[in-house]
Amino acid sequence: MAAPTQGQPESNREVGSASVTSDRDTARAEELALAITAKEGCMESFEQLVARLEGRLFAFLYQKTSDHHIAQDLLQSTFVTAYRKLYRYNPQYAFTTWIYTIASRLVINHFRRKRLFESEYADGVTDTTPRSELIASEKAEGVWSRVRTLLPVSQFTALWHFYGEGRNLAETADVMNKSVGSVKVLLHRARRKLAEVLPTNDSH
Amino acid sequence: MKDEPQPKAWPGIEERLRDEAKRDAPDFPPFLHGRIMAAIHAEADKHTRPTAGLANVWRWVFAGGLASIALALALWPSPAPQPLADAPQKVSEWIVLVANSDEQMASLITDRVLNDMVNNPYQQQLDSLSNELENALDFTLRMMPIELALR
Repeated sequence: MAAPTQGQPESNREVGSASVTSDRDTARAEELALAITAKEGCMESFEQLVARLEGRLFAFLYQKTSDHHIAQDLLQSTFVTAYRKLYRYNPQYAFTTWIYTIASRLVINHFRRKRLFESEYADGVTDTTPRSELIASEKAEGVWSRVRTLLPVSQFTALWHFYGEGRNLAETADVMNKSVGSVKVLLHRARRKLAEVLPTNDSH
Repeated sequence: MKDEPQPKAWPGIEERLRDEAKRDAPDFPPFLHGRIMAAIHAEADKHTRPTAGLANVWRWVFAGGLASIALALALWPSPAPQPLADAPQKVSEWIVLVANSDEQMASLITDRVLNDMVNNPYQQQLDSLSNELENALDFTLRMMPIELALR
């Protein structure tokens, strides 16, 4: 993971860590080749893609849901959906872009269903044991939990790819299927919002 | 965006974002890869199963076809015995012939025609009359003791 220097603007980060970028280019080319052969029906290639991406995707889904079990289920659904829709994958785009899009949509669907369920069963019994409250409070203290509640999905995703996964601007734009300019705007808005809210509440 | 003034607290937040992303990174469960691959193989099996489904469909089509053929054969109208179309005319001819020549009559009337036209209808009528008489006799015999008892 390319860990950018603290406080360094993203434009400078693009210049640095050229070897890391070339490694990532190689990895991307390999993933593309695997995706193409998997699309042609090679199960071994698809399994290699799963092995390459499952860790990063799991971390991504965990940050989005903050629940191990839900993240596991969504990860499985992501790969099964990807396998089912593999014939629709366009190799012009990075495979990671495609699979992160699937994962993000599944997360959105999950929360949509959850909201519906909660609104239907609002008067039902809720899980408020001391243990669950403790876990919830510990999770809420984490900066990413705060970020998740404060920012819109697109800004959170950009921030996660940039800081959480250590991607540079171009890679973040690539995986989000957006232009570099759009990602810059998303990051700028996210920073402004966080700078307004976090320092006053967090004395870290 | 390059000239964007960095908020004072931003470096600290940036550091926390990076640190906590690493620190809170969930351990990837060792069983999860196997579970995912099992689900994918199950999905792959679903795609190959239509062949078996197709075979089932063909089996049902074949069975349905056989049933249809059997039904059609059962319901097909069997050729009914055709009555002689010109029977009245022939009968009149025979009457004329009978009046003129017994030999000609005998040569024209075959056994089959004679049976169809004369013997069988008469026989049927006779059988019917016989049945009626038998029934009447039977009825009378059965009713007789009751009538006698009533007296």
